[in-house]
Parts: sequence; C-alpha cells; structure tokens
Amino acid sequence: MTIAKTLAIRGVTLVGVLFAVLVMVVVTLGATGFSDRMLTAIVNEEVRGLRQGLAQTIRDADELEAALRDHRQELEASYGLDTAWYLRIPQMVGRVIRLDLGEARTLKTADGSSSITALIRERLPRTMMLVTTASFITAGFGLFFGVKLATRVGSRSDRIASLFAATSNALPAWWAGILLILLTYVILSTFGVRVFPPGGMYSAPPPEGGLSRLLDLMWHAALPVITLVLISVGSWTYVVRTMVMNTAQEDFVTVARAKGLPEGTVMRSHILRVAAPPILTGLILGIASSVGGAILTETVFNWPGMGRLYYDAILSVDESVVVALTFMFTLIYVSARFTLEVLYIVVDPRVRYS
Amino acid sequence: MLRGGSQASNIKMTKMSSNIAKRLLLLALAPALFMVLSAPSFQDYAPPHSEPGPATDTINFSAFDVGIASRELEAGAMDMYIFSLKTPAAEALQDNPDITVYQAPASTTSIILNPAPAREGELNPLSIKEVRQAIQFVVNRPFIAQEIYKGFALPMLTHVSPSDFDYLTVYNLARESKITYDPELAAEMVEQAMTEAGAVMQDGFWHYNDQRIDLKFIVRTEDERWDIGNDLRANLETLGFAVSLLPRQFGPAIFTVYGTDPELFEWHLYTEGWGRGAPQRYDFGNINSMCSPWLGNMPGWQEVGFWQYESTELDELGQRIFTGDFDGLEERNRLYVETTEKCLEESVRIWVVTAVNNLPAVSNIAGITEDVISGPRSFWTLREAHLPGNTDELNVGNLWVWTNRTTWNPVGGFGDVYSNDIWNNVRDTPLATHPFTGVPIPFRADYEVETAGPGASLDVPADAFAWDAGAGSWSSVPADTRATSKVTFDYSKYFQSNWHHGRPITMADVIYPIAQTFDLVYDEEKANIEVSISTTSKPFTDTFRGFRITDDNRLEVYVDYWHFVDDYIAQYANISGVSMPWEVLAAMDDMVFAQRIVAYSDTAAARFNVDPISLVLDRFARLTRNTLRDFAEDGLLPDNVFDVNGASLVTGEEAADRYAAAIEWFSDKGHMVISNGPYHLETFDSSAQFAQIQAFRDPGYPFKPGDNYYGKPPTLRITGVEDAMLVEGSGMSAAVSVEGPGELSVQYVFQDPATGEIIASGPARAGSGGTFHVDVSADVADSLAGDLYHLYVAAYSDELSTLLEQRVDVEFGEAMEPTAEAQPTTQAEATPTTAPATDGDAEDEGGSTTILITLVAAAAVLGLALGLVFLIMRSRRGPQ
Repeated sequence: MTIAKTLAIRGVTLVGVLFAVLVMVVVTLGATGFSDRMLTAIVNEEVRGLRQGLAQTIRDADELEAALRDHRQELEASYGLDTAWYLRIPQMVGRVIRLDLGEARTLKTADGSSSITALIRERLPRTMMLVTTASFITAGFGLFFGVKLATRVGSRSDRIASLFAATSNALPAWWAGILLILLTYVILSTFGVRVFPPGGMYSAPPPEGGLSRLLDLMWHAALPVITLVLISVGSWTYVVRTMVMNTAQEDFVTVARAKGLPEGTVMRSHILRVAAPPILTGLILGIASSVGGAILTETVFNWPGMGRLYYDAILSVDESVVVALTFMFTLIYVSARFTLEVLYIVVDPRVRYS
Repeated sequence: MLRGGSQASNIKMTKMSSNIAKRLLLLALAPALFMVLSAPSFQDYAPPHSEPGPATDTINFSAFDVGIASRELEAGAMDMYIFSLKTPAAEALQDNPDITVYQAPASTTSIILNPAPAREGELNPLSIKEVRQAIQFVVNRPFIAQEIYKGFALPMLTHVSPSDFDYLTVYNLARESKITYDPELAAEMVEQAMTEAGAVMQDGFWHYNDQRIDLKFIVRTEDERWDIGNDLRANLETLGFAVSLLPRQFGPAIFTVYGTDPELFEWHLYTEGWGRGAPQRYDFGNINSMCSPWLGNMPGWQEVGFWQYESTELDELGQRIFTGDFDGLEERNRLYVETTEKCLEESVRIWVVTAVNNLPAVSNIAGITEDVISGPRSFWTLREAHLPGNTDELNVGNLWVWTNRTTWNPVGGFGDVYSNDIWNNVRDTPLATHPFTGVPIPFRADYEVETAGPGASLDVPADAFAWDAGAGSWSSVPADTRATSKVTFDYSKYFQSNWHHGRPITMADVIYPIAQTFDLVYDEEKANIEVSISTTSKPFTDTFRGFRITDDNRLEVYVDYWHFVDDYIAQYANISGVSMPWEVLAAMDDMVFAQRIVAYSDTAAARFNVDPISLVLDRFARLTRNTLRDFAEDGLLPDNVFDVNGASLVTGEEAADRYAAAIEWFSDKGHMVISNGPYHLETFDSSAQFAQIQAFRDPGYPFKPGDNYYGKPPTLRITGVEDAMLVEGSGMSAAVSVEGPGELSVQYVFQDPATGEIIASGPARAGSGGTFHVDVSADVADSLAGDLYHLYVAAYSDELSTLLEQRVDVEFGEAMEPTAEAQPTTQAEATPTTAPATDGDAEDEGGSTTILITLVAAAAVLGLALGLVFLIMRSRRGPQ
C-alpha cells in the first residue's frame, strides 16, 4: 500500500470521526430531549417575566392572556421550537458542514453581531493570546528542561523537577488562578502594590490608541497565561524528560555511542528524532486544543474567549453555536491528527506504512 | 386564617404585681431599620454650582466583579458601586470611615412549594394544605434575618414587605397572624395531617404505602439562600420528611422549577429570590403575581399541559384588584387584605425575608438620593451625585456595562438593567416616580388630569385626532367618541431646550413616537414583522381614544383608564416618551420596515435573520447615519406623521437641518444615542466594559444641581407612647407622639398575645401637635382577664411609601412615663443608611475570610515546600 493511499484511508477515517461527533451532537441535543426541554423552559421563563411587565399596562385579564399567547408563539418560532428537533438540528449540522456557521440566538459580539463567524473571529484571537501563548511557552520550557533533565536522571534537579511536575499537574487551573489572584492582587494591593489586574481585558478607563490598548491587553493577559503555564509546564517537562530518557536507553543509541559518534549527534539524530513523534503529538494536539479555550481559567479571569463562548452557548442552549463550535473544534482536531500522521513519517525513520 | 396553637412557646407571660406592671416595654421593631430616621439631609445639601445640567461634569461607568468591588472602591478605582455587595464584604467595609454602605431593601426571598397531587399510590405531603401551613412554623425567620443575613434582612410573613406601603393595608393581618418559629406546633400539625392522609412514621420518617416520602429541595447556591435551604432542610427533617438537597445555580434551577410540570415532581421546594424596583404605593401586580394562579407565577405557571395550582377565590379577588374593579381606596384595601389572608392560608409560597442590598460609596460623596426600595441605585442619584470640591469626574462601578443582552433601543427596549443605569442619566422622562412615596410625579412634563371614572365618561372633542394606520395619517376621531379620562400634558420644559445634538425639541418629537407606536400595532405589514411588540402593545393602545394639540406646548390625551389617584392616570396616558429626536426614530423605522436590515425585537431578529438594533454600537449607528444621509440626499420627510389638522409640524429645511445634526453627531461620537437628559453619552466601549457620560449644559436645560435632589427619606419618628396602661373602670387612652413630614397618621392594633386575638384596632384618633390617641373603653378593659397585652402602633405619612412600627407592652396599673432606655428609635436614628451595628466577632468575620484563605494557601505552599525538601533529603540518603 502506498503512503498516499494509507494517508487517504487515514483521512477518510478522520472525516468519519468528524461525522460521528456531529451525529453525537444531534443525538445529545435532540434525541435526548435536552434541547427542546431547555428551550421550552427558557420560553416559559421569558413569558413569565413578560407577564409581570405587561401587567403594568394591560389590565384586562383576557387581553393579557391573548397577548401572551401570541408572544409565546413568536418566541417559540424564534427559538426554533416550531420545528421538530429531528429537522431543526440536522439542518444546522448540514449548514455548518457547508461552512455556513449561521447566527447565534442569544450570544453576540461586542459590536452587536449575532453571526457565529463574527463571534469566533472576535473570541479566537483572545483565546490564542491566552491559551495558545501559554501552550507555546509551556512547550518551549518543557522541551528545553525535559531534554536537559533526561541527561541528568537521578540528580537533585531531576528530583526537584519530578516533584514540581507532580505538583503542577495536580493543581486545578481554577484554584491556581484564584491563588495567584490572591497573591498578586489581594495581598499585594493591601500594600499598595499592583502587579497584575485581577481579571478582565482592559483597564478602566481603557487607554486610547492602538499600542497602549494592546499593551494594556497584554498586561491583563499576563496572569492567566502564568496560571496556564504553571499548571501544565511540570507535566510537559516530565513527559519530554521520560521520552528522551527511555529512547536514550535503547540498544541503537548504545550502538551509536559504541561507534564513537559525538554525543551531540547521538542526541540529535538518534535520540530526539525517535523521541519526537510522541512529543510532537502532545505539542500539536495541545496547540490545536488551545484554540478551544480554557473554560475555567477564562471564567476565573473574566476573559471572554472561546472557552467561555462554548460554555455560555451550552448554558443558554444556543444550539447553533454549540453545533458550530463542536464542528470547528472537531475539524481542528482531525486536521491536527492528519498533520501528525504525515509528520510521523517525516520525523521518524522507523515509521513506514505498508 | 392559619390554625393557631399555644403562644406559650413564643411569648413568655410573667405574672407581675400591679405596681411593677407600670413598666412599659417599648420595642422598635424591625421596619425601623429601613426607615431613614435622621434629619432630612436636604438642608445639608449644597449644590456645587448653578449651571444648568448635572452636578458632575463627567461620569465613568466601568465593570467590576462583585468579588473585588469593595477592594477596588477602597483602592480608589471607583467612587461608588451600584451593584449589591455580598454580606461579608459589606460587613468588612463597616469599619472603614472612608466608605459608606447604603442599604436598600431591594430583594425578597421566599420558598415555593409544589402542591401537585401525587401519582396513584403515592403521597405528596405538600399537596395537603395543613402540611404547607405547618412549614410556616419551621421557617426560622428571626434566625435567618439575624444570623444568616447578619441583621441585613427583615422577616416577612406575607408577600408584602414591611418596607412596602401596603404593609399598612395588611397590618392587622400581619399582627393577628400566629406564625412564629414553633417546630413543636408544626410537628403536631404535620402528624395530624399526615396520619389523616394515611401516612405512617417509620424510623423517624414518614412513609406511605411502605415507601419513604422524599422531598426534593432545590436550593440556590449563589447567596444566602444556600444557608436558608440547609436550615429549612434540618427543620423539615425534624418533622419526619426525608429531604434531598439539590444545590443549583440560576439557570438549572429555573429550568427545573419553572420549566417542568409540577406533577413530574422534579422538585418539591425551591428557594426563590425576587428583585424589587421603584416603590409602588398601590400595588396591583405583585399580589396577583405572588398569590393568584391566573397571572402565571404559581405552580403550573399557566403552561399548557402542566398541572395547575388553582384557586378560584384568589383569582377572582386578585383580578378585581388588578383591573381596578372597586369604587375607591377603601374597597381596594379590603380586597387586598382578603386576598393576602387567603394567600397566607394557602401557604403555597412561604415568605422568608426582605434582604438588604448593600451599595457602597466613598463617604464624601454628596447628592445621593435614596429611593426607599432601590436605595441610591435610583433614577435620581447620579444627576446630583458629586465629590465636593471636585465636580470634574465621578467613577461608578457596576457588575457589567455591556452584556449579550444589551441593546440601546428606544422602541424595542433596553435589554438589561446595566444599560438602564446609564440611560437613566442620558434622557429625561415626562414623568418619574417619587423616590419616597412611590407615586408618579411630573418631571420634564407637567400634567393635568380630568376624569369621569370609574363609571362615567367624557366627550372627546371633534377636533381630536387618532392615528389611521390604513391611511398612514392622522384623522379626526369619530363623532360621539368618549373616554374615561383626559390628561393634558405640558411639554414646555422640553421645548425650552435642545436635544444633545443641539437642535430644539419640538412638538414633532412628541407626536412621532405616538404615530410610531400606533403604526407598529395597527399597520398590518409592520405588525407582522414586529409581532411581539404589536401583540403586547395592542391591548394598551386600544384604550387610547384620541389626541389634541391645544397650543404650542400642550397635548391632550383621551384614554379609557381610571385610578383613584390622578397621577396614575397621567402615568398610564404618557404614551410619548420623548426620548430621542424624531429623525433617529424615523431612520430606525426605515431600517426595520423598509430596508429590513435590522429588527426592533430579538424575536423578529431571529425570524428574519438580522440583528436587533442597538444605537450605542458603531455598526448600527453607522447604518442609521447612512439612512439619514439617504433621507437628506432624497429630501425625504415623514410628513404624513407631521400633518396634524391641516398643518405640518416640520418644514423641509428643519428636517434637513436635523439630518445634518444627527450625522455630525455620529461623526463626533461614533454612536447614535441622542437624547435630552442632563448627560450625553460620550463613549461606549463594549469590549472594555466602559462608558462615559458628560454633562449637557444647554442654557435652556430646565434643571440645575439641587432641583432633583431628594436625599434621604424624611424623618418619621415615634417619639413617645404615654399612658399606655389599662386602668380598671376607665380603660386606656394612650397618647402616641409622632414626628415626620406631611400628613401623619397612626394605626393601632391592641392584641392579647396569649391568644393572638385582636381586641381593638383601627386608626388612632388624631390630636394636636402630632399626638394620636389610642382609646380602649372601660367596658372592653374590664372584660379582659389577662395581665399583659400588646399595643402595636404604626405611624405613616402621605409623603412616604413606608411605615414605622412599634410595640408597647400594656398591663393593668397606673400611668408611668416611659423610661429613657426604652426609647424606640435610637438605633434606627443612629444608623439609617449604613449597616446595622453588629458585635465585634461578626464585624471581623468578613475581613477575616480573606486572611483565612491566605493562611490556608500559605500553609499549602509551605507544606509543598517542606515536602519537597523532605523528599530531596530522603532521596539523598537512599541507595544511589
């Protein structure tokens, strides 16, 4: 079987994964009755609230009921409840597959647009600034220190790094975030020192001018980025260290060394190249998943990114957004997976499809 | 009424000698907490300047999370926070002399019970009225108010808060009620009711058909309701009910409680919370909402297909109050009491407390008006608020400035309260609600009311006009048109000034919104686009019979509406909000109905796949600008709206000038919010959660600092109760001395605390100099067998929508002056608008939370560090 054919099969499989996820979304939202039940509850709540408001002007009980009945119909139509879920949700899926993400029902961009494309265009850069930046920093630190530690197994620095990795990995993001806010904002501000803001994206009032505004945004992003790095850098370092260490103990490395090859060559050409695929997997999947945002960190730091968008969409049962984001995240995941399939062949001489 | 029980558990009866019985015990009851009892501060208020417009030049609105708001306030990041702090944070601020925490009784808490009948073979105990009534006796209201809310709350028995004016209406009922915290009585009531229903007690829990009865209790977790839920669960378990506590946040909770059929029993009890707006002197909506099933706020929620809690009696009574089916105040009050009594008897909704919202500000801020319900977060405050010596800027914090629901749309409405907090300072309404009395008052427009209601009607003059949606123009009203009331609005105070973009406000700006409202309802094409607005407006617009312009400033409105207070008729007839210039409204109409690129309502936006218009955002403001540019280029003018009785209210030149002014406004500000209030909107930055408003100092603007300052509600004090004792053979004539504003009155209830029987009640006889007399005749006194009685006196004023209540213990004996330490209002006088005093431990609790968290965090970090050192040392000693 040729590489092209193998990759084509992998590609088709991944597209199948994409469809399977979308079918699961339809089933979860529609067939379980979740979506209809929640949307009906939202409509009920809106009508109940409106009833109290209208009572101020409509004093005739029958007219009030008639007005509410009409309004309910209008609300149900706007929420799509006048269409059965098995028509409504598959239609959404069909639309997003054609890359028409559609309109959100309740969520809006800061300039008032309900377009899901506009929502993503607004939120994605914010999330990348936070989570993707943190992923790169984490990967950089992890690769650098992981490789270093792999050559010093059992040393004091290795033992410290191992403990730090366990601690870092065990820290919940939200807890670490709150702790950092407590340390850098609550405690220090008691002494009149303000290192980082406790949340949000801009100061009040926001600075005028593009550069000042960007710097202000970066200042606000610093603490959440530190949080994300803190909770993931330990495990990253440890994973890299272990991969490299394991590879370094393989026979072919011993043979390379026995042949008298310089240590740098052994490390680059024999150890790292072999250890690279699993590390690359982690790196690429980590970066790919970073565009999905970090719900808890974004919530703790009041940072309206992709994670919060997804979370808010689920909370408000904004079906279009849920379907569109699920499609997008899955698409990114399968693309990353396919990229990896190709990269495995490039970086690891042992990988050959046959 | 609820079945009673022994009061012995509640009130200790001590037998006293006749000499000792001379003592008077005066208690200032809880409502005093909310009465603002210091001297009116109006005299203390010195307007910072006399220029037209507001006190401060610039106000910045920023969003601060409630968790950090108090710290940001202390750090100087803002001068005022208009979202309620949590109780511990408010407590922690008490010691800071630079911060004042304003209090507003702006929320209430209740427990809704699910009274649906259980499935065959099962039993829902809450479907039994006596069980529901018993639960009233295990809600420990004093504990909840004092311990859970740390004194920042008032116990409630009915839907009427002790800080509502209608508390006076149900005063006797509240006093007569025997509901106290009495678990023993509750257990007796439950045992009898459950046994009669066929349930048996096994292993400490009630069982039915050998199945344990489990109650699902949905409890909100965001605030003190979590503690209330836990307390009530413990009490319910002492009654033999197994309770599953289901912690839920807002969304999941309301979806379950209000979104599922009660008969499915996804819930049995739920901790509800209610926000309260401006004061309402004569309630008609709240009582229906909280008691009468027909208005859709009782279990079943009037949802088709759901089981419905029904009460024909409550529906009939409630609807009579709602529709004004009474001949005056007295009958209305009688209906109100009857409805409340029945509601209490049904006990489907159990009231717990009125909670205080804590709104902090820097102590040196001046010009705050405290609405009796919403406190400083009122329509009036920011118009006058300023920092003495520095009127340049004021920084105001709120939870949000922009949310997903935010729309600045004078036709479809404003989507959230945060936008209204800003908008209230940008526009002037024709009428406003008095912050202390809750009655509508003239604001930017004056009015006169003439009514023939409720039974008769007035002639509508032949030259009056009405909107003919078919012709798209005004037409004369049909001959012999009649209306219940006529309101003549005088818009002089608008017309003497300009819109924010510098063009004069004219009658055209009054007329356009009226035509717009009617056209949206009666023009078939428009009504089919904006269905929700048209269907919900139609019953209201149907009651308008005609309009008539009488001179340059006056407009007569003929309407079929009556209320025993004229101001409410004026409020109803106020159909033209005069909030934005006609050209902006016309451009919006064009975009919604002609271009179809935006919508007024969310529902129309969803249906037609467009966005709801929000004039504060650049995108929509730009579209509006483009439309106005087209109007200007094409010389368009909605002259059908402005042709009234053969004359046009707007010329082509005036229209062109208006278009140019609005276009220039957009170029300058980047938004299209043009209005007429004391501030104009300068900046709105949604992504930065920031807005700035700046003073509008138009020479014609009718108000200057000091004109709209109300300050604290005026003093109402019961200064003394004398001769409050029973003398055999001569009865009692107690003298109640009251000080306060306006026309004062006193109502009393003379009650036997042992039985709860009301021996006498009614209005106290007015004497001279603010003295009122409570008379109990000799015959009545001689028939009394007990030793101790309670005299409750409630003082009120026509200038306040709240009342002050006080209890005096009365015994047989001789008259004696009240002792100095028994003066009733000391505490309330001392701290009218700041948090009530608490003991040292409680005060420290809020502040120590942060320290505690810090210590725990530090301990965790220290532990990790020690562990690290330990492991390193250990590994060094181990085999290499």
